[in-house]
Amino acid sequence: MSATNITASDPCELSVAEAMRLMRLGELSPVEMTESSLRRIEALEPTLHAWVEVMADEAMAAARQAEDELRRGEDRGPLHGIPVAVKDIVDVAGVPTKCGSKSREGVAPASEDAPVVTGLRLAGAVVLGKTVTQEFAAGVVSAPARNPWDPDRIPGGSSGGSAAAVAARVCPIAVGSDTGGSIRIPASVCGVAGLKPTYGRVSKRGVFPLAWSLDTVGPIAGTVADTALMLNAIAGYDPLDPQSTDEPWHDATAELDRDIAGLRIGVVRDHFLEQVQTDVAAAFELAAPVFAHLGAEVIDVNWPEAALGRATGLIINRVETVGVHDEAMRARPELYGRELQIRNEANRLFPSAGYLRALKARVAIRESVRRVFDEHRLDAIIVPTLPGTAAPADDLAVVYDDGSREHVSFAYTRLTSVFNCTGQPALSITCGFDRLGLPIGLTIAGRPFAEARICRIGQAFEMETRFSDRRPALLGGDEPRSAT
Amino acid sequence: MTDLLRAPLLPELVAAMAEAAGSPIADDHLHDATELLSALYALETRLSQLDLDGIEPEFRWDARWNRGTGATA
Repeated sequence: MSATNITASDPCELSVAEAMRLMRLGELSPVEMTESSLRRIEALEPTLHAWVEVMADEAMAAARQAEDELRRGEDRGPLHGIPVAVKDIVDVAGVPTKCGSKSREGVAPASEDAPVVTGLRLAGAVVLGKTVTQEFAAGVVSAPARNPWDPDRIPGGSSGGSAAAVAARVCPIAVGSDTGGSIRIPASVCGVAGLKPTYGRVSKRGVFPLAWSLDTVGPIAGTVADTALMLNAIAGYDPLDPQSTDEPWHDATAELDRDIAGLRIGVVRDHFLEQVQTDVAAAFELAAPVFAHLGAEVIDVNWPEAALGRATGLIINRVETVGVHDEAMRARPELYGRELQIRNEANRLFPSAGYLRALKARVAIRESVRRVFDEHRLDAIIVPTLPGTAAPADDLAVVYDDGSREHVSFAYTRLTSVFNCTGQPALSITCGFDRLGLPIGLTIAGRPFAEARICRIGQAFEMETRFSDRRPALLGGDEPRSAT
Repeated sequence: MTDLLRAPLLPELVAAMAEAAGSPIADDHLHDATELLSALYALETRLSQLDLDGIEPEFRWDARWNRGTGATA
């Protein structure tokens, strides 16, 4: 199954932190790293289908510039010379933003970078190209992209191309977006880290909307530390984005060097373990004691209102999606995929009173999670990211041990969308593998704007378990992550 | 808390609603559209489990918590 010409010592396999160290020692150059990424795209793309646009010439020019700057002693920081993938709902200057939709064929190239891309470039990152998304980010399949752990399976979505690229170690970081789970879902099934930041922390200007009051943009990366490094490059108040929050700067890496002794972590089971695959439940139950072993106080907590998070989030999501697409879809329905067409046709008939009820419910659910955190003085809660692992591309269902089936579009968002509803930050990391060797995700959710705290907790777990070191089948399976 | 009592949605009703709204649904979409709308109605019904009396919807969503004792250092 593994592609030829791929070795664990290829520079593109390095984490940001490892690459940064080698570049500063003069043992690796941005050009070498970008060339390595481009070679890997060439080797894997016939199987992976993760990219809609590879900007090879532009990337090599940016890498040469990054290399010249480093030679002159101009260091832009940790992302200097690091290749990055960008989900194709995010504007990159000079490239059309096609959003995975026929309706965007022939659209003019973006005239400027979205602020998240500007932030990455200012930090010295090298944009490799645009990755596959479900049409307008509305779904969890991301066809035609495939999962590096088993190319017969889906990478999840809607940021599936970004997660597949990172999991295949084409590049260490990628831009995703998350409205109901679209960063955490592909991160979970592709065995990488995905961080949905606090709502309002990252500018959404230049990012095609799905549901404006739920949309977030954030990092997908091979390690927790790399998500934090990337978040620092893209976060910040944007006065031109009406949903951006004017908060003081928070350094997402600020706590990475600290242990988690004394931190208080709530384990939420009820709703989150009601219907999950046995292997997911087992991995989750094995994960909780790891935090205790690392010195955290692990506390069982109840959060009954979480069971209504998906209902609330989904209603808001569906009604706002109509608000975004209705006019264009009425004019040219044939330019949209069948799934999105039907969704719009149905959802435009949903009563406005129901939307208002969901907006009120969201306030109640935000208050309920605040109470849980305050009552138990929590730093974070942990839950399974998804009820199941990656589904086969030709059978889009999560199958449970009692034989029951749930379509991925319902199953994958059932546990994730509550955190879009509350707006709090949520980090998905790998907490084990199922009997088929497919990754299982764990979510660490924190207080608003406390990304540094959940990254600290996630990194401690990651360093202890080393699940992030495992290599997917497409790369030839288990070999240790390269150190050079 | 107010219970929502609704009659089941039938494709004929959904088709009529769509006609009335000026956006007819193609025959081959009607079954799936009815299922989706029914599911959304069912989700809304579940929200009656929450006490929403006195809560005003926030149109400019803000994820920040206004109060809180803070967690550990």
